[in-house]
Order: sequence, then structure tokens, then C-alpha cells
Amino acid sequence: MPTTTATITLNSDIDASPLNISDTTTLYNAGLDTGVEHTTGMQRKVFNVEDIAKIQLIPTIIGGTFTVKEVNLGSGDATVTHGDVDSVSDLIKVGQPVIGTNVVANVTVASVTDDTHFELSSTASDVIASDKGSLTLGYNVYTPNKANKIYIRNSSVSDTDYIVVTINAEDIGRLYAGDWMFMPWSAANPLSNIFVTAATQTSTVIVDYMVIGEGDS
Amino acid sequence: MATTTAAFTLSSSDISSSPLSKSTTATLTKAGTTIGLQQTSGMSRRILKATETSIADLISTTPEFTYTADKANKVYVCNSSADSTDYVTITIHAEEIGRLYTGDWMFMPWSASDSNSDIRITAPSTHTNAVTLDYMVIGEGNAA
Repeated sequence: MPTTTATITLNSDIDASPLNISDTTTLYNAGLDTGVEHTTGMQRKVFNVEDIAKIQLIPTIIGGTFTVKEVNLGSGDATVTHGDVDSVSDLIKVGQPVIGTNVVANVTVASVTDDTHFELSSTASDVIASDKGSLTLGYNVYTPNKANKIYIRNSSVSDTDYIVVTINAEDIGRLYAGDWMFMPWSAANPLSNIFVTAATQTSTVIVDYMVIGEGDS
Repeated sequence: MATTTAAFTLSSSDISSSPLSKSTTATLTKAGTTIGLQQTSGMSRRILKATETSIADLISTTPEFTYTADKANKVYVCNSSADSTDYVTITIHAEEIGRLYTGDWMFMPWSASDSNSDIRITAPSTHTNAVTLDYMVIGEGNAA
């Protein structure tokens, strides 16, 4: 098993007595003494001045998404009928997140009936009809409530340029130029995506980020 | 003005095909300035007994003063327990952030964006030993 360590060192004259903290943790799988094995590697996102929208930085989906075409779904129904047999029927698995018009948030594949039918974990809010609709499914998701860790750094240079880090709809905090964060991430449900917003930057904002943890194990 | 630095090192020789080695240091300053942060809660400790399994406040937005929203506050939390299965779940408002297992620490910004933004903790109903948490806020407090 890999051995990964994370160390923080805090030094300050902020108090009457000097603050000197150094703490090292070895990143283990949840409740075990075996090292975590999943990492996204260090990634970088560059926000231009005009990029002021809230952007998904780290999704709960692993491996991207695929589209199921020729979908029929009745209002108040959870049974999806599709005609996309050749291209996707082998890809649909229980637990995959489902995204689409008339599908409420946080819905997953509850069961796969056959090559042309699967069940949603919740019923549709309205009709997807006439074999023309489509749904987007994630290949896989981070297993909820495991020992994932998130690292994010605002590598910008302008003191006033910050990013707001959000999980789902909850603002965590602001990372100013040079600030970094390292925190656990439960990925408790498919909506627990991590977003960043660089709303007021005056120059390009560079964000470096990485996940280390258990992935979809 | 105080000078506070937070250094981070992440190292692994074998989690990927090439060794992982990342180091960075941040000087903690007030929002949008080069002026060092001046307020701290000091290092605090909270011990959750085995019987304490309900969600509870760890860091409140309204201690002796109210944290000004959307400033450059930073929060440090460490699970200093000894049993590898004892974790705490960290929550802000209704959003679960993640689980801190024994020896794990976290360091993150904290907007304290409204009075519901308390940082809360929950130990699992299965925990068998006391869970010891060390924590601290460094930031702007009730800055103007």
C-alpha cells in the first residue's frame, strides 16, 4: 500500500507566546492502517477575468459521464425506457448518478431491469417522452463517507483576487492569493461537488487542486 | 502586525508512478491586503466522551464577538485520538464536509457567512473511546 503523509506547520507571533504547531498525518483508508491509493494528481484551473460564474472544480463523479438517448419516462414514474441498446446498455450500473430535465437532484440508478429499462431512485417530476429525450449518467462516484482529502491552492499573485470554495450550496470560505486548504471530503451524496467562484478578480486566477483518498473503492 | 505562516507538505513515494512531493507556504493576511491576521482563538481542546454522539458546535460564529462574514478566517482542526476507528464528521450548516480520522488534521478557510455557519462535529454512535479534538481559528474576527 502507498504511504502518503501530509504535514502542516503553523508559526506566528500573533499571540503573547509564539505559536508553533507542526502536525503530520499519514493518509489511511477509513478506519484502517492501510494507505489510500486514489489520487487525481495535481490539476490546474485558470480563471480569466471574465470567468465569474460558479464553476464545478471537483465533481463527485469519477470518470466522466455518458448519455442515454431515446428515453421515455413518465411523470411520477421511476422506470426509464430507452432505445439506446447498442451504445450504452452495458454501461448502466446501479448507483450511477442521473442528471436530466424532469429528474430531481440527487437521483441514482436504483436497479437495471434489462437492456432497455432501468429504475431511478426517485420518480420523475414530469414526462420525458416520444423517444427523443436523453439522460446523463456518471460512470462512477466517490464512495460516500470515506477518507478522501482535498487540497486546493489559489496560486494567483494579486492580493485582492480570491476564490470562494463551496460544497454543494454551502460556502466554506475564501482563498486569497497564496492561500491553501487541506480538508477531508465525505462526498456524502452526488450533489456534494466542490465548486469555486472567482467573482471579482482583476487578473487571471490560477487554482491548483487535487484529491487523495479512496475514490470509488 | 503579526506574521503568521502556514506551511504544507504532501509527500508520497508510491501513490502514483512518479513520486508526489508538494510544498507550499502561505502568509496569512487580512482579506485583500498584505496586513497580517491579528486575531486567534488560541489552541482549544474538546473531548467527546463515548456517550457523546449528537451533533455539537465546535466553533461558533457568535462567541464573545461575531465573526465578520466573508473575511480571511482560517480554521485548524486535528483529531488527536488514539483509536484508528474513531472519527468525527465535520459539518458546516447542513453540509457535511468530511470525516477526520485519528491523526488527521484539516486547515481551511472559513467564511462564517451567516449565523448558521457554525462548524459542527459529530462522533459516530459506534465510537468506543473519547475523541480528542484540537482546534483553532486564526483570522479577522469582528473586523470592520
